[in-house]
This record gives sequence, C-alpha cells and structure tokens, in this order.
Amino acid sequence: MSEELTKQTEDLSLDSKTVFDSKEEFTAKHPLNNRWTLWYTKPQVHKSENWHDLLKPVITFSSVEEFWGIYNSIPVANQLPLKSDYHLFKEGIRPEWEDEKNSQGGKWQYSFNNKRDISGVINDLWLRGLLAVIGETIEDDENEVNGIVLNIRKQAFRVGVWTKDCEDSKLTTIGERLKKILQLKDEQKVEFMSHDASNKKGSEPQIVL
Amino acid sequence: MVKYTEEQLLEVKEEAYVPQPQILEAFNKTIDEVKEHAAAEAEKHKAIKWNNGDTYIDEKGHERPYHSFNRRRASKSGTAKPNLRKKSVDVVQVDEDGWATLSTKSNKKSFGAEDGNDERSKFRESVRESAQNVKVRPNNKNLGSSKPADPREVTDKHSNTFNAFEALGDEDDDEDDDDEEEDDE
Repeated sequence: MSEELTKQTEDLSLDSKTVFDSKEEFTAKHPLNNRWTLWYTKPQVHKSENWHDLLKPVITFSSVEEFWGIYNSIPVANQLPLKSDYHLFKEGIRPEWEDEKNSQGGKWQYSFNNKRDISGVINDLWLRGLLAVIGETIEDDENEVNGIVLNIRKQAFRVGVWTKDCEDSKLTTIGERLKKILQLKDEQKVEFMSHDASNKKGSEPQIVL
Repeated sequence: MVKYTEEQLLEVKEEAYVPQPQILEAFNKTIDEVKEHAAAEAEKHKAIKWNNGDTYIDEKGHERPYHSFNRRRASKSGTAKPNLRKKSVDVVQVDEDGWATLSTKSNKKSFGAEDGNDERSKFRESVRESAQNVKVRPNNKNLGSSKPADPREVTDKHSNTFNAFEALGDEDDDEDDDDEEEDDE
C-alpha cells in the first residue's frame, strides 16, 4: 500500500454527513443501518511486506449515496490484480479471524473455479453481494453477518460471508440467501466452516447447502 | 432496523456521492502501481524464460539471442525425404541376333567385397585337396542335440577297425563342409 494512502486512511475522519448529522449540509438521504468499512488486501510486491502491511482500510461510509460514490470510483472485481482481496466489514471489525467479533464465527463461501466463464458476471455478482450486506437483506434480524469478502486468485474468484457465530439455526438462512445472491444452481454448493476449523488441516465444512 | 432491497439500492445509484475523493484517488493509484509491478514481473519472467542473456550482433546490427541456434530443425513432415543412395543403372545389351535385353545393373557393393578374392580361391583349393585326405569327425555337442554326449563316443580313441557306416558318414561331412563354404560366398 502506498505511503500516501496509508497516511490518508490513518487521518481518515469516519464522520460523513447525513441528514442526521447536519440538516443543512446533508448529502446522504438514505442512511444505512450500520457503518461499513471497505478494506483492501494488496498483493505482496516486496518480500519485506507482511500481512499487516498489505491489509488496509480504504474508506468508511454510512449511506447508500456514499456507497455508490465509492463503488463507482474503485476498480470493479475483474479489474483487480491477482492476489487482491476486497473486504467490506462493519465498522470496527477487522477482516481477520483473530478479531474478537470474528473469532467465534466462520464463513459461508463459494469459489467460482471456472474463472474464464464467470469473469463477465463476477462484477454483478459481487455487487449483488455488497448490496445484500449493506441493505442487510442477506439475513433477517439475526445480526450475524460481520462482512463480505472477495478473493481474486489465479484459478478462482471466491466470495465469502463472515458471521460472528457458528450456530446452525442462525446460519442456514444466510447460506440460502448467499446462494441466491450468487445465482448458484442446486448442484453448486455453498459451504460453511468455522474459522477454527479452517485453521485445521482436513476439516470438513460444518454446513453444505 | 433499516433494510434496503437490491432494487431500492439501485434506485439511488444516480445520487452517488463521493465522500473523500482524494482517498479513492490514492487507492486507485495504488492499484495501478500494483498492476504495473505485476506486468513488469511478467515481462521479466518472460525474458528469463526465453533469453539466457547471451546475445550476438547480427549483420544488420541487431542484438539477437543465441538460443535461436539451439532450436531443433523444423519438422518437414509431409514431404519426401531425399534418397541419397545411388540409383541402379539400366543397361541395354544387344546380342548377335539384334535382340535388346534391358538389365538393371546394381551399384550396390559391399565394402571391400572384391578384396582378397585371390587368397580366397587359393584357400578353397587347398581345403578341397586336404579334404580328400583328412577325415574330420565332428563332436556330438556340435550337432545340436539336447541329449548329453556319450563319453565313450566323445573320447577320441584310435581304432584300427574299419567301420563302413562311419566311413560313409565322414564323406557326407566333407561334402557338407564344402557346401558351407560355398554358402559363405
């Protein structure tokens, strides 16, 4: 990550103007239920760069208008360099399993391995995922979803929805909705795995839908 | 809890507002740098793969890699390979009655085929002469029988008795020897 961007994100004021902040200067007519932070994982350019150097918050927003302003100004999914990740998480939650709000949870995930075929539609699918998360229609009132992740890899595009718990009863709805959002067929299975299990070799998914 | 459906969110798309454009510019710049680095790495990898750095200057002054000399000759499948052997020559012989006979004279000769012809003739003559005087008795093991040889027969005993069958067999063997030599020709 360039030093310029790092400095700017450090100095970033997370306050954006909404109708609730300032009735005179509001630019956001459609406030979101939560504030969301976009993170980016930069591919390693120098061997000296570690995970913390590569994973950086980009910007935080709290309205639909801001979301569109940001979305229109950044590269779409299929324009990102290999080994990049986009993460959109609720403000205050780092997109790492070590974060206390993630540590007891896991992720629903689907990997599009047919990268050539999916390259034309991955932008739309990722956008649908973002909209479902910020609009909070990916779940009912469970308040389970912490964020959504896109991994750009050589062989695949991977989309994951991170949850704060691993209780089956709370997770099934989210998995089913993710499958609809990604327009998957019945035989294309989404899998849920806890972060604990993901760190152990040979672990089987907790739920498969 | 405020929720927005996908359709509701898409309706607001035209009202997009960029909260902090300088941050997004810096972000885009970072991604461009990453892409440039990736492209440079790919070029470097390509160069390493196809060029070992050892080059020469051709007649036009261009630097060229030596690896082009190490390429295998291109396949010429589909075209006939040239026949480098000498072709046989057709010879027409006309006899006394005026009949013409077409014969093919082969140029194919073994290497050194005509060498030592005289020595070979002399050798054959000497063998024929001696064959009339010397009787050779073959050993059983040379006859190709899988049965073990009888040691009484193998033992080369001098016998003064005359055996007509043995004498006949010896003559046959002599003839065989001659035949074998002729086959060698």
